[in-house]
Amino acid sequence: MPCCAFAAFIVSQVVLGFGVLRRFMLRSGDTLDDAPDNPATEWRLIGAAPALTAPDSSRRPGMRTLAIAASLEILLATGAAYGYRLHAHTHHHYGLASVASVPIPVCIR
Amino acid sequence: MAVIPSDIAQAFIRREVAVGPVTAARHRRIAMIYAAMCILGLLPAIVGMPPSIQAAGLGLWIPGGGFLAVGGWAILLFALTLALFALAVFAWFGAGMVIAPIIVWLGSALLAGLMAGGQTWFLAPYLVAAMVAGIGIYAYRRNQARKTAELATLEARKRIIATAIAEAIEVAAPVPAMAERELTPDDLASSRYALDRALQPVGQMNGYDKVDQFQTAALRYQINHLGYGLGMLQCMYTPSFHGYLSQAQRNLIELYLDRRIWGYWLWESAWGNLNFTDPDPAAKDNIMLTGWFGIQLCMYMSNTGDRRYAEPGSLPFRRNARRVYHHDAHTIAQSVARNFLDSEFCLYPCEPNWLYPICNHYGMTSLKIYDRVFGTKYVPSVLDRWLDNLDAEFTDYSGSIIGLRSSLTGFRFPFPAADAALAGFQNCFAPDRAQRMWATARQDLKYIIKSDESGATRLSIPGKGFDFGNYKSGYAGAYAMLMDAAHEFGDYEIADAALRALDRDCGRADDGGVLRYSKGSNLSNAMAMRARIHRRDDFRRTIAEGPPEASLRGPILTDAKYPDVLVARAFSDGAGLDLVLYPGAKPGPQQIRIERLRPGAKYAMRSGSEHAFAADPDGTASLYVELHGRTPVHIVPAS
Repeated sequence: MPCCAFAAFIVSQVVLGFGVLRRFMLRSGDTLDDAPDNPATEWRLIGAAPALTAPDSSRRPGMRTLAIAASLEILLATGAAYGYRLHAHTHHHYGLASVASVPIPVCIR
Repeated sequence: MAVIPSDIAQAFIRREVAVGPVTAARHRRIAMIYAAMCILGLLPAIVGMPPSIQAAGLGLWIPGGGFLAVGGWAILLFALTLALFALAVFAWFGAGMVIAPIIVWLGSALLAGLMAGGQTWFLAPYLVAAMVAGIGIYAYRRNQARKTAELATLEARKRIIATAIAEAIEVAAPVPAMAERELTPDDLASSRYALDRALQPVGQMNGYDKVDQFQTAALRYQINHLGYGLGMLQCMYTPSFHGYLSQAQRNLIELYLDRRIWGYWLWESAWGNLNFTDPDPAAKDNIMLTGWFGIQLCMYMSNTGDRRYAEPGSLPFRRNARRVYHHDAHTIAQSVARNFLDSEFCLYPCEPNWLYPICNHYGMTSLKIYDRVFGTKYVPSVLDRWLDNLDAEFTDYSGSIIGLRSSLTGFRFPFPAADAALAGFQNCFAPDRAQRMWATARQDLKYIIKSDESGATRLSIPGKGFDFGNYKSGYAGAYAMLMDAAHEFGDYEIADAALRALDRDCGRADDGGVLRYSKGSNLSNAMAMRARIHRRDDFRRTIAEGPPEASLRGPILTDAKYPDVLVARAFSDGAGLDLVLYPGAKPGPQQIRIERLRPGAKYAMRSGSEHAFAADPDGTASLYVELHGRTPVHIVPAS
């Protein structure tokens, strides 16, 4: 369990970090146009413009997503640290066991 | 009193330091904490403690440094931890999550300690020390380079400041008389962009950008700027028209109370201020809500005389079925004033621990209009200290105001701050300083004034730009902001150049009687609407003076159908009513309703021909007017 949590933690950093880079540095989320049209501005109270569906923010991670993801990661990190602590204690225990020449598995997944 | 350029320039020329006493104290505190961490981190190695403690200690020097001590594949975690730390700092910046970098730093040190084997990598302490030294040297050199550049700018500004101020004053158009105020057809089309959004049922948010609720694209800022545009329009062009214009402003105010708008504070209060039990949005910090919303509230009350939002509990911020934060215009203003007084910087944070001078300008402006509407003296009681701190703690060596400072660490972080935008706010509460600031900003703008193919001047900012209202490329917001500021200071040449740039580059679209910029965010469109109708000192007058006194007691237009009847002008002299109307859909007869007439008195309505009518006993009258293009309507007491 701690190994899985730690792996998820690391993978999430890579994925999220890449997303942030893409969005804020490379701006690859934008089209190649200098400035894309904003469908939100087309909406009219009365008239021909269609009521908006959710704007295109759904296809890109917003700050809210980022905040939620960051919170989850912190939970994961805390969980991983706590899990690793248990893991380390287990190692310690097994170390004592090995002194006593008792064959036992080294890692539990 | 005439403004003397040399007097205005003095404070600017005397500027010598850019780190004030409070910032310096924060720097000292953070340096001491870091020094303590380094000593603590080094001790295990010196006294020969177990490898796990040594690895954890090394992790206190730099985030992830402990993984170098672990050695082997764990060295890869060092780079990952640095990336994660950068992300955590971004979460701290973006959403006030102050715990994020602390958890990552200390958490990685702890993790490294737990992972350490029988011995540490012997090179690790030297590598970590070298990296820390390298980062320190880089930061020092970067700061020195920035300081040198800013001092060079200061010297250049000193040479031209008096001339620049004199020039800015000379080119400024006179303040327009109320008798001249009338919206053009383009102005009306632009105002319909804001009215469309504001007049939809409260709770619906069609036509808004929905990206995030923490940073600059948040819905709250879109609502605020739509409100400011409509409020300034009412004050400067149609103070005697309430009807759908007042309804639109009330809708925006009531929409603001929706938890989707202010709910971000529940999170920020928890992970930034560690306040899990009472995240009142108008208590500690959060000037990005109280300062901005306060202006909007008071604009409405100042324009209309309607004091409904001054009633206790009239602004309920409902967290859930059981918990409501009851506020009103008074508690919102008190929150701003109390935070100013309580803060060592005087200026205080938006997100927990992040001080944005721009939001504090909104806050001071909100107190200015509140003082006028309710007769309090918040601004005189705090302004001197506020300005002193702005100069000492938030102004760089060149004399420009910085964008952002961390209140915890005192560190200055890169965030755009435009002197031109700040000058518009200062014009409300410190007009001399505003004039100086605009004069220097105006000099900088000269570099981006170009001629287009027809020979007309336009602003031209290189690159793709960045729209803070949706985080996409585009210059609609920047051009709108510059046009707004130029109009406020009467520099119509620059304002026209900005308008030309907006129209050419930002996807101007005129469809369905509404003028919009398709390549701009909703926030930028709201700003562009206000910038378009703006004339000299309009913002200052809306905040510091309010509508003409006669419009608050004379007859008012209260009912007209939107968008069939568009109101380009509505002024009362106390007895009669002067209107200019346009048909918004098709020409023909339209019914309008007038209130606050003298009960039972006889009046004449002049619109081409003259019609006599008598007011009802309750002082109201419903009238029909034929709208064909621009239609002046005069209602006067019968002689």
